[in-house]
Amino acid sequence: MQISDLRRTARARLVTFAWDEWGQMGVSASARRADRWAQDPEALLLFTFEVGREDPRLFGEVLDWLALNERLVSVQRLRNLCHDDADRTLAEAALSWVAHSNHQTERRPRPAKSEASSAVQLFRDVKADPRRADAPFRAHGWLMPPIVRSGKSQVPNLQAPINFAFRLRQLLGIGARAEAARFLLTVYAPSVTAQVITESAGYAKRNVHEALTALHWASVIDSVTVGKEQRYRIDRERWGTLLGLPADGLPTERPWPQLLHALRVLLRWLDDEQHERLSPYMLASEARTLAEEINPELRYADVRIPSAGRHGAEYWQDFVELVEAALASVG
Amino acid sequence: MTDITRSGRVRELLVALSEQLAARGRHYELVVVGGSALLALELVERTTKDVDVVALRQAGSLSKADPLPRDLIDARNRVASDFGLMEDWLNPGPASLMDLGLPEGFLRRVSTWDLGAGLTVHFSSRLDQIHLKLYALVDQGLGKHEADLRALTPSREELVQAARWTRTHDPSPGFREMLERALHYLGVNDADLGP
Repeated sequence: MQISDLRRTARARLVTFAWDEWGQMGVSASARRADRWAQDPEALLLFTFEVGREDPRLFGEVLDWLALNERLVSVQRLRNLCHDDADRTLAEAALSWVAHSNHQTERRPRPAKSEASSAVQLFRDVKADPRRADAPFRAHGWLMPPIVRSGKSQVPNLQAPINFAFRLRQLLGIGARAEAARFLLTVYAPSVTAQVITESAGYAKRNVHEALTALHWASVIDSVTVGKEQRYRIDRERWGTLLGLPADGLPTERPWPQLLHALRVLLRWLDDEQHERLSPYMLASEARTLAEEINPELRYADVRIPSAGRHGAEYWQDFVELVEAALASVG
Repeated sequence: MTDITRSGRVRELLVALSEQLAARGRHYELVVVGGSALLALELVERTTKDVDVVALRQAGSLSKADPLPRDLIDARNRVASDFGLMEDWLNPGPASLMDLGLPEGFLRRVSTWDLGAGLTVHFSSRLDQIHLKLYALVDQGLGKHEADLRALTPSREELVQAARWTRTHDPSPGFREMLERALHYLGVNDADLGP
């Protein structure tokens, strides 16, 4: 399979996945599926800011959703989950756009380092006139045609499993407590360490420790010492009763921060046109380097990594299989 | 780990190395001896695990290959990962030969492969391989060196010429004695090895 075909496939499937997720979370879209997993709103936002560059309508509708539901989203957590400049500038631009849209700020958005002259087109197929580009995005180095809120978004249905994170935020407030409780209630393990919870919580280790200590003091989670390890567990039945759900009716956990980060790194790599000009061997070598970078996160997310036994240029076929496995993991 | 088994394989790996170096904006000229050079020039048929670099060539002059430059090591390691090779599949193992010099006229006799924007490789000639293999045989004993030397079918004159050169690397009486024994083993008796 050529890289151009792989790119098209990945784009199409990831855009569809994003629509399907947001459709269950309040974005104006027909929800074609009803997932049993609890989605991670901030990880999905960062993922959509990248994948939405393929689909301006998706990007615009998610901005509309964010403007309506900004109180359900943790800005701190969104920033914590950023890995690189692209993540950071896209997130800050979106936050700035929402602030501008909701509060009609007179103040011009504060220019970021990458402003204006070095700004790049946000959408891959729709070019923005630099003079008329959206100001909040331009201030963060992205040229996007002005987007007006569609006003079609709704608040998430908190009874849907996918929106479990929002429900716990309503219950416990936005912060590490809600994320720690979400992880403990959704993960399929008798007990877990603070380190594992931190990987999913998206807050600093210290904040997660404080949250776990507070929940333990409040007697709503248990702490056990196994060997030298402090482990945490939760009584799913008691919490299920509180939430009006049977213990086996709680949503399931997926390592979204890791999986969605790996997928957006993959998508950026596929979108890099320089790869079109490489020899078959160099393309395969670059693909192997990328695989080495994202495989730990894919493994963490339980993606079945195909064995990579091919050498030289032939490794490309292994890479195609890896991409297909990663795409299959989001359905 | 994969072995290097034929001339085409040597070329494939070195072309890959060339592409990796070019991607880093670098170009090197390597002087290669040993089993991979014999394979590359189709002088023997056997497997080898590595490519022995004795020197780097720059602006017409040679410098010792040890240590290999950092970006060459990075590119080499990438190729190792891509082809399932030992990380040091290309190494400066024989670089100490440069301390006392290569045989006179070595560079005039090399076979050169231009492998693209990142790499040119100069393989030592059959005559120079006879020099190096005889030295290795005396220094390290029989085994692959003897097999390689016999595969090169050296003449008496070539062996005597090689033997004289090995003495420039080790003029000790002990080495001379072992050298004479090795020559005798190879069918050369009463050779004039100089003072």
